[in-house]
Formats: sequence, structure tokens, C-alpha cells
Amino acid sequence: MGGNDSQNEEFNERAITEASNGTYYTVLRPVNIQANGFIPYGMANFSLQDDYLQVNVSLDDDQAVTHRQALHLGSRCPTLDDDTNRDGFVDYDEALKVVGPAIMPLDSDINSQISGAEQFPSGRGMTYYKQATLSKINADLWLKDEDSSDDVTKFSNGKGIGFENRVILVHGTTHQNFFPSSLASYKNEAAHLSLPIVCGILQKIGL
Amino acid sequence: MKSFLVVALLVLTNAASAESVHSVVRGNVGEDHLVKFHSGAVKFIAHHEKEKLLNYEARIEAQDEDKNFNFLIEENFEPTRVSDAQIKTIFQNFNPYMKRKSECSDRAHVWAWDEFNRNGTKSEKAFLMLTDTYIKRHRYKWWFHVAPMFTTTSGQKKVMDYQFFDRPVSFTEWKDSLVFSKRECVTDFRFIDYNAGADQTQDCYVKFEPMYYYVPADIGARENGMPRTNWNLSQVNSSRARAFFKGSAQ
Repeated sequence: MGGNDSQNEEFNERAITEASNGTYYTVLRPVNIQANGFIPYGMANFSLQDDYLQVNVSLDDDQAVTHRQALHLGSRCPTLDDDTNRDGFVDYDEALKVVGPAIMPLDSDINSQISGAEQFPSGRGMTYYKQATLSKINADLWLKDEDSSDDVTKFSNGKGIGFENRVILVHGTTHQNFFPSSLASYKNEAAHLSLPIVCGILQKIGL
Repeated sequence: MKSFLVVALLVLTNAASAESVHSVVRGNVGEDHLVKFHSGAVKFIAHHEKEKLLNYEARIEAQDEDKNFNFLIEENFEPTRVSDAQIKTIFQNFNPYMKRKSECSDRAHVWAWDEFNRNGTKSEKAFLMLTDTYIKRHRYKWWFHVAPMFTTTSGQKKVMDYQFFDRPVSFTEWKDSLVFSKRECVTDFRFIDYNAGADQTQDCYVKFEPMYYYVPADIGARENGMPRTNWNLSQVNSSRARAFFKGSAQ
């Protein structure tokens, strides 16, 4: 099994319901609502028809920054109760403990976890649209995990990706002087770019 | 095959039409000016952009949408009391398919109407209005926010702000999330006085109104002897068209 075993201790691919034809949708609601005066919000939509997947994410946040985003193994969005160091914000590390590792980074190529890595959408009012094939996604998901430090995990061969009850987490806002120095970030990224800003849990809808 | 959601997402849903201006607050020397729109949005105008400021001041228009509406007389409005289980069901039934940059007033109006139309549930609206000092301090992008509020059988008030919260919340939790200082809001006031400038040592003002009230200007109209005592279905339909994808749940 790929990925860091201790990291995946709470987040197990066995809990996933494999994706089936249909549409999965979630409203993206604010995390760290006080991070700036334009309270961000958005939506995410995954549409699967046979082997063909379309992913749409839109965000209204008025912040001209890059937005790291991913589909995660976990099934709960972080809240201020998860602010374990009580600095007033749920930072990157605190959020990852809740949402688990990413299973699909929503970057420039969702057919592969590594291809298109770190190429995330940016800007105010971000709109993200990508297409992929499920067979490629799953084949990539079953490869050996070459980098266990990237907070992206692999599955055991045979378990396909699932979207139902999985978390979408989006990061990134402009720097604010009141952000505490205690904010953790992804690798050496500036903390305000790693700060989670919106989150949602995909549900299959009857459309 | 594309779902209607995919098609809708690919369409630019926010037309660049001119928004109607509620008021303009001129800043002190060197300060930005504030333009407040009827939608609740706030725009900051740099202090030196005089022409832009004058253009917005020229667009201020009195709200006249309801001037010919025949109000029925309903002297006392009593919200329907619902059980905790019903509160959860009501929230889960809210239409989640909101358009990009939809306005809170439109969303709240449709959600409240849809529940009233489905089950006859009478709800209220929680209007949160921010002071100019608060807006400037936080570069806040709205001067007001509104959400439906329902009453439980035990008398608790639950705000259902589906865009920002994943569950019904108490008024205090709702207010504390949006008012970063978590200060109490002024409740005993006239909208006319808030509109004229308010007490700028405060951060926020709040009003609870029957579900028929759409924007804060309706509160001012009531204070001028024109209460809202029934639904304006044309307004609900317009709100739905602006805020939600066509064909989505009702």
C-alpha cells in the first residue's frame, strides 16, 4: 500500500465507496472565516460518465493568489475546534489532521498525482475546469508512492477512487498583518498561501 | 452528456450590469470613500477618485420596487415553531445550487419562500448591518448580510445561512463569525438612523424581521409606515433567477 502508514492510520481507503456514474456536488464553505473581509465561498462539481470525468471548482474570494486545492481521503471539514494550538486559525497541519492526505490534487493534470503538480489555479473568483479518465486516475493511484512527504497518498491495487463523502479543501489568501507566526504551512510555502479557506464534502446528487 | 450544472458553470453568470446604489459614505480627508449597493456589497473608492465618486452618487436611487404593491394588513407576525428534527430537515431542503456571486438577500428570500411554500412555515430574517468604521477596519466587502431565521418549539432562534454554514446555528454563533470583533450588535435603533450614519463606535447593528422583508431598505419603509405583510412573488421569482441555477431544486 502506498503512502505513509501512520499518516493513513485514521484515513483508510477501505471506507471509500468507489466512484460510479453521476454527479457529485458540494458547496464550499469558509474555513478561517475571519482571514479577510471578503468571506470566501464556492462550489465543486465532479461529473462521471463511464470512464469520463469532469471536475469543476469555482471560488469567489477576491484574493489574487494561487489556490492549492485537492480531493482528500477524509470525510470531515476542519472547524475552529481543530485549532489545536489556539492561535485563532486552523492552519495547514491542523487541517490535514482532519481531512487526511490528498488522493487527487486539483492541479493542472488530474489524470496523475505527480503530473501537473503544484500548478494550481489562481486569482480572484477562480474557476477551475479539468477533464480526465477514471482508468488513468486509478492506474496512477495504484502506483508506488515515490514521495511520502507530499501529503498525497496512493491506494492498494484494486480499490478505485471514490468521491462520495470525500472532502474538497481549498487554500490560499493574501497575507494579513494579524496572522500569527504560529501558522504552519506546506513545506516552505508562505503560511497565508497554505491557509485553508473553503471546504466541502461531496455528495452524489440526483441530477 | 453534460449535466445542467456543468453547462451553467461554463456560462458567465454574473452580467456586468450596473448595480443599484444604496448610499455613498464620503471618507474624511485622505480616507477611502464607501459605496454601498442595495445588494449589500461595498466598494472602496480611493479618496482622489472624485469623478468615480460623483458617478456613484448620481446613481443613488430611491427604492421604488414596491411603491404600487398593495400591502395586506397583518398586525402581528408570529413565526412558526418547528421541532429540532424539522429544523434539520428544513436546512437540508434548502436549494444548494447557488450561482456565482449570488446575493445574500436573494438567497435568503428564496430559501424562506420555498419553505413557506412547501410547508407553510413562517420564518424570520436576521439582518446584520455593519458600521462604516468596521467596514473600513476590515476592508469588509459588504455593509449588510441577511439569512433566514427559524424558531424552534423551545423558542430558540436558529439562523440558516446555507452559503456559509453547514448546519443551523444560533444567532450568536452566526453573528460572531461575521463580526470578527465578536462585539454585541445594537438592536434598539431605527434603520433611518443607521442609514444616516449610525454610531461609529459600534461594529454592528441587527434587526429581526418577518420573512417578507428582502433588504434593509424595507425596514426603513416600515418605519415610514409601509410594512411588508405578504410575499411579493415577482420579487421572489426575480431573486430565484438571479441567485439559483434554472431548474434546480425548489
